[in-house]
Amino acid sequence: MNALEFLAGINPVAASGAALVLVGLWGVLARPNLFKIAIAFTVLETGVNLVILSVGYIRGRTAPILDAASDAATASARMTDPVPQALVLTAIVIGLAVTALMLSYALRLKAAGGGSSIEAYGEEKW
Amino acid sequence: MMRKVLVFLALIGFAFALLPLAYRAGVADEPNALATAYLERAPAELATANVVTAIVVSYRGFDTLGEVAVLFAATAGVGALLTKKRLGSAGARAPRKEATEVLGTAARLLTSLLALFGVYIFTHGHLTPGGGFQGGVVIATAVLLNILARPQSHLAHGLMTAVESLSGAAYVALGLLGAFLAWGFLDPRALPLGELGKLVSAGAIPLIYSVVGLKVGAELSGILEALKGDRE
Amino acid sequence: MVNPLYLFAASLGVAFLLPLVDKLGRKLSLALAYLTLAAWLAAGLSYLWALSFGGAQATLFGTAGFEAPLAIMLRVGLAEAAGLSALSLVGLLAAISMRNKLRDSPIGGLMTLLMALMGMSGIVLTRDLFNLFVFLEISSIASYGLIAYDDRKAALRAGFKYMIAGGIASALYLIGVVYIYRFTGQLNLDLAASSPGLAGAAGSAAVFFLLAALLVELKPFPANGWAIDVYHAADPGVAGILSGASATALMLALWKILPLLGPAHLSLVAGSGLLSFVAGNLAGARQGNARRMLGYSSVAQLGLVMAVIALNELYGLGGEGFVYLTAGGLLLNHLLAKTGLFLITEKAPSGGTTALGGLLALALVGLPPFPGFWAKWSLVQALVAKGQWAIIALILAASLVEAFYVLRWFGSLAKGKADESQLEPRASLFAPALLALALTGFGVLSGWNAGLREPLLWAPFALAVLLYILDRLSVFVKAPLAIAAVAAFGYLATPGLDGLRQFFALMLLGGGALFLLSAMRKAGPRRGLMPLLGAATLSLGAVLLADSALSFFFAWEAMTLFSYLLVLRGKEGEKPALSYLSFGLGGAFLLMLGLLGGAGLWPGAPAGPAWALALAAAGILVKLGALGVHVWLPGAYAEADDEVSGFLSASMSKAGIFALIALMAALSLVPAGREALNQGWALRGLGWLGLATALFGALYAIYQEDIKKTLAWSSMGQLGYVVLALAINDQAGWTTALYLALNHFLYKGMLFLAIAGVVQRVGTRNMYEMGGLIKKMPFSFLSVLMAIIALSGVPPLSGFGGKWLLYSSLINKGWYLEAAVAFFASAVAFLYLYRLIHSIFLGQPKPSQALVKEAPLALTLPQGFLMAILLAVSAFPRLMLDPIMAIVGNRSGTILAFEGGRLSSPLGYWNGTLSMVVTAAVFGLCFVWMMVNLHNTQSVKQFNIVYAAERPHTPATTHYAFAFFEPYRKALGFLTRERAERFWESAGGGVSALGGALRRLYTGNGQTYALHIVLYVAILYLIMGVL
Repeated sequence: MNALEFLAGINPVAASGAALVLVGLWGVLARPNLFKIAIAFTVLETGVNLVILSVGYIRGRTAPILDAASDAATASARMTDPVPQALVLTAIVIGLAVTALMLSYALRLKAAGGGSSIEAYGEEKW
Repeated sequence: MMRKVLVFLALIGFAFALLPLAYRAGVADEPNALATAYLERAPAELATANVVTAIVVSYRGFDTLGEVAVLFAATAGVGALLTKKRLGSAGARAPRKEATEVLGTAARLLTSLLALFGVYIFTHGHLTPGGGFQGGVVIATAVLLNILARPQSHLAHGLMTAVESLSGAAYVALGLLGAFLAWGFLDPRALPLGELGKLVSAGAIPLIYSVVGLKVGAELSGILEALKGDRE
Repeated sequence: MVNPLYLFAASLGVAFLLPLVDKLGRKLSLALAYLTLAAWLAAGLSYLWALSFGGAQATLFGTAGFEAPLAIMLRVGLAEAAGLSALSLVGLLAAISMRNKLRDSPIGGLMTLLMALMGMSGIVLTRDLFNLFVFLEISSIASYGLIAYDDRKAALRAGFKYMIAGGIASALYLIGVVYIYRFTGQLNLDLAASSPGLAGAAGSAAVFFLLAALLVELKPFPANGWAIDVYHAADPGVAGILSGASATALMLALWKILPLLGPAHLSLVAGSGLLSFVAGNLAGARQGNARRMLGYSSVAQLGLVMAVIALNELYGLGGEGFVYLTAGGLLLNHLLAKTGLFLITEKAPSGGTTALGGLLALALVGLPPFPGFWAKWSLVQALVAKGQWAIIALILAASLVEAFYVLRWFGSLAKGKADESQLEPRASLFAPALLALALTGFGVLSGWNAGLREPLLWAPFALAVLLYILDRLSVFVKAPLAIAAVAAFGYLATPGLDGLRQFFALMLLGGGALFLLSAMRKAGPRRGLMPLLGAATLSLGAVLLADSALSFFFAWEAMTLFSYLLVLRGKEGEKPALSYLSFGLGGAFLLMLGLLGGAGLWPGAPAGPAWALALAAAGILVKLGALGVHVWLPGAYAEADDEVSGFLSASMSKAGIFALIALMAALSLVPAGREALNQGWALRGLGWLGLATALFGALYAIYQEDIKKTLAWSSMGQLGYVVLALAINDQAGWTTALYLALNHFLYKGMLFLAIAGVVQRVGTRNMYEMGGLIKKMPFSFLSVLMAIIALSGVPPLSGFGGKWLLYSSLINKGWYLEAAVAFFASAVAFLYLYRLIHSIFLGQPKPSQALVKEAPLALTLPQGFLMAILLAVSAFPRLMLDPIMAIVGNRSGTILAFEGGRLSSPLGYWNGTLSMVVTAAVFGLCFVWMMVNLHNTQSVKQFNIVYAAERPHTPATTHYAFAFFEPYRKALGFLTRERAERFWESAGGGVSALGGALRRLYTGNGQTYALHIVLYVAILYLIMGVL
């Protein structure tokens, strides 16, 4: 198997999603700022969402919405998988909720005078 | 240093675990049996042009109800966290700068348009790309614009709460309607299905998406307002 | 069954409307929320009822009018119903105990509470993989909000760490679920599991991501720092919900996805679970903060349940019923006890707090009658059957560590110590009480289910409850009641027993009744003493009644439990009780393994293999305080209440002797056992162990200043003789052992009762602070005098017969060296006995003790009774020996036989009646001579010892009775350097150091915790690749 075949086997959407996941994870693990951690999670979630979408991706097909151009009879031959699209909607909203809560926590913690670095919040230990 | 090495190793390990998935899954050639079933049955059973909407609101409507609950719980959490009382002096910072003329004018111009666009998106969720969440977010952008333009102003908090509560309750009520008039909780066939492709079609789906749109719009606006840090 | 969708609708409807309802008043909001939670509980219970008794089948519910694969399905089966009921109960009770704070916080607190519990219920009910994700997120996002609801800084800090962990877990889950969809084309769990798409490396990796997410949520070591911080910092109600309800839901989620898992996945779950159980408990051993300690215990317990579920799949331990019984039982035990304990941590110490905290803590560590006991028994039973010894050793060792630190906390609670900063003045005991009640109920039910239906076996617990209810009444009411209960128990139980058991019933139940009587020596209610002493007595009786491995172990553990509490009740009992329990449980675990291996300790039992008998023997020897594992004994005997010390020494120690005898009887029934016995090395070893115990018990006894410590060491030594005699293992040896046991019961009972009176009147336990009490307390003096004559083996009392029997049997067996050492040990015993009577009763009276009176009637009465028996059996040894020899029967030839009043052995004969007559005559002659020749007696006046220009700082220690045997200590002190104590201390120190090192992982930095999680997942993935 040559390199080209290998590359063709890779799902481009999934690969970019995975790359974003790793970038987000790096941010979560290596950036001490609370707000940056929250943003790193949105990057991570975006990567995951891309991965979800990649599963429903079929080359050369259209969105699963019926219109004048495509009727119910030909739908399954012309459209992509609708399920991951439905799932990603839920995942996006949940990601949004997590981000909102994380930012609120960060704000609240900062307002209590502890600064923005996660290292300042290690009082509970051992 | 040690830490950096460990982070690096952890990421390498994680990438290694992702590798077989990204490679072996590859790109599908055909939708699988379940997807095909949705594509074929949704227009017939629910008269919904947008198959994704049919899945989101009906077949997997329970997920969506959960999704609304997630957003609701987050809003409740944010609301409890970020009150003026709890944030103390840090919350009520010195008077904020007024927005520029450009922003102010744009806000005045765009607010009603955005709101209208949001309503359009959620009422046409069963026909076109979009739906309650998307519409709600668009409405919340109108609120965001206004917050940016007039930092001192306050949202009509009571009204927002009422909209949020009542649209949520309406969603549950529509779900129960499905249980009593159709075949189960959240079944949109409680209302007549109508003709595929028309605005008034797809049973209760447009109604459900409308209340979801209102609820999401109100909740996101509430979160934005709370993040501003001066909510009572 | 009602469609659960309506419950979701109700929860959501109420939660959505709460902000509006709240405008009408918070009371209404609270009422509505509680009503909703109660509806969930009612639904859960109704499912449970319908499925177990109503004949209903597990039911699937579709949503939106469609069925799988198109739509999401919910399932209500037995596991779901049980999980739902349990988590709703815990949620409701935690919510009730949080009501004051919920009233004062923004309404968001109540809303997130409702959402969190609904999310957990959804996790339990759903059969759809993606829907499971949605509910996981509902519950965790609502939990993030709930953690912050009362605005504590610490909770906020911990909450953020939780969010980081949760965020990583949800990303893992999504990746897993979407690839499972890719490979199987299904989101429905059952359809996906039956699809062939998951075979192969890619499918396995997809399942791995799903599993990893659930594992991270289940808080495995070392990826659980965030969870421990949350338990530590959150409001106790929230911590209870997270530790109890959320853990239940997650465990059911894991249980649910089992069909997707392959052997490699299962090994990961099992390994990770066991590691968490061990590491969590080790780290907990070092923890002083109550809530953090409970956090460590929580992650450990979850690890165990997780491991059990996976091990069952891997090794086929016993199928679904087994999982319900063990994993379910452990989980139920954990969630009820842990929630209750979290709630208790905010209550100031009081009688009620102690009682409930004790109940919950004892349940947590798996003592009877609580569900954890039965679950652990079944688990170990299954593992023994599969020969998984390494796993058993890990589980039992970690359980022991857990018992140690949980009960250490309880001990300090019982002594009224509490962390002031954690207390909440408005907290109520309603919820913990209900949880304790539920635990007890489930425990009794599981016991009934496990086949333990003999009411007399349950009698100890019933009596404890009854007397606890009456605990406010005076001891003069309760003691007769307890004695009546013991008498009734004896009346009902003993007729069905064989001779050996009747013989022991006399000492165990009769002794218990005597000490119950003596408890009336002080007026007042004496809270706690009667329920515990009464129950302990009955549990001794229950040991005799046992007719199966489980019932024997049940009674044995009940005995350990009640005696632990009795020791803890002592004024300085905290530390000794802990060491008593640690050794008691360690011994009990060995005994459990022996019993499960087949060691039969009841009449008509199969004897089992030799290794099982050896394990059981090891466990029993710990209970007997054999040298090396005796370190619990002096403290426990000395620090317990005075009548309790007597009970422990005179009666309870006989239960150990009984078990050893039953074991020896069983041993001689198996060929392998007989072989070992005939070869003799095993018995010789046992004999030397007993001998060493006898010798060192006596040696330690002579150096004690504390009178009760002297008696404690002496008890240990005397039991050593019994073990030695048993090791002889022929007719003479057995006769000797039983004779010595009964004799020990008589004189140790008298000694402890007499000393109880002395200590009560004098107010100190140091012998050098007493003196000349013979005139003040003549009856006690007489009692002690008779007892020490009986103990030392001087004619005319029965001790002489005992010694004669011992030496005869030893020499007859050919154990000459043993006989010599035994003789030496007896000589040592003289020393402490002399010191005992001399320092206390003879010599000059202390001026401060001039007004001392004789001991109260409650003490002298039982002593008189014992004295009468002692005299009778001394004068007529056949009274005692006939029944004993009938019990022993003809074991490998008759060695001893009676000819009239004469007991003869191959070495000679002994006539008790004759020696009594002779001794009485000689004594009488001397006495007459003394009376006749005492013309001019002079009474010596007290005078001060005046030092030349020097006044001692502690005059008491200049008394001659202080450091009485110092010369001997100088000569022989090297023998008694407490090596065993130091060994066990350093062993404990090692465990503690290990735990201390482990918990350094938990740095408090949320990012480090995240790193742990990612590394954990990566390493798990690599391990899976290797598997």
